[in-house]
Amino acid sequence: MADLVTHSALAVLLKALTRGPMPAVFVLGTVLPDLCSRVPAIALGYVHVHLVRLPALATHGWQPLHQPVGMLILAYLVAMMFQESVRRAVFANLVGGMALHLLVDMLQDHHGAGYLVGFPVWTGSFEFGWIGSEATVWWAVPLAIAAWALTRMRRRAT
Amino acid sequence: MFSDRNRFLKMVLAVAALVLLGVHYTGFATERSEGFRAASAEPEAHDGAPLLFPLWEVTRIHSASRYEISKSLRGVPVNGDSNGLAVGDSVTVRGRFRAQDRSVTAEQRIDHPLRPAKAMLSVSALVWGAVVARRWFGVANGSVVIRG
Repeated sequence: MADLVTHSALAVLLKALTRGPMPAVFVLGTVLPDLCSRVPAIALGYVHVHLVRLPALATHGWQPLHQPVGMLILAYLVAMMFQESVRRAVFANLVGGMALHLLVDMLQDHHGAGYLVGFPVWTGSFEFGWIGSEATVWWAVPLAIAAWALTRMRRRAT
Repeated sequence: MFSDRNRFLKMVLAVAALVLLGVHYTGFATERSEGFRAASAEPEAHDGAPLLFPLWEVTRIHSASRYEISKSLRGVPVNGDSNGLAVGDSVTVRGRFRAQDRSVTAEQRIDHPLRPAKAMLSVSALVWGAVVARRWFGVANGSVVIRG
């Protein structure tokens, strides 16, 4: 996974450049896969490694929320929390944000581990492996500044 | 599909589908025929099998040539150069299973010194998100509404 500053900044930049609707929902979509899968997995993983042994479901069960099928169901679940009139648009923006998230993550190289993008239908893994797994650390702050500046310019222009 | 009709039921079904996926994935991850867990269950059959441990935490250093890593499994013994490692570091280890003592003989070790910086960036983003969330979203009549 890339860091969440990079994910959020890229989502803001993309929405600002395309002037697309619902930027907040799109950013939410790009954050949700890590928020719902990595955050609990890392927290429970820490408990498992350092405090008390946990069942495998506690450390592995979140993984599908970072895979396309799980992301679609998660986007549907979250969209259903919104008002009926905007649900389709919210779903589309959430899925778009999640797709951007997965695309950015798949650029990374995990030395052959990859992402199970076809689970549960296909259990092979894939990643482009074009950048290191910590490469985004150097881009995060410049990207965040660019996203903030572009958003500010767009607001002033309107 | 997106209507208010049976809204609660649809949300419960979505949660149930996610739980089932999680259970299915856990079964897949823990029962696959490759990996350290499978090798430890049948050591002789997996002697020399290639293993990959991406982004595992160093949890113990025994000597200059032996240390332990943990993630989904605790205390996996690794035979390899521990020079420059400290407990708490993140490493990727590529190696082969050694049945004799159920350990891993490391062929390659990749250190991830920027892992804490990456974690700090993500925590910062989450804090920022929690602050701005109230400006972007609200709740009215039992539904989330978009403000910004």
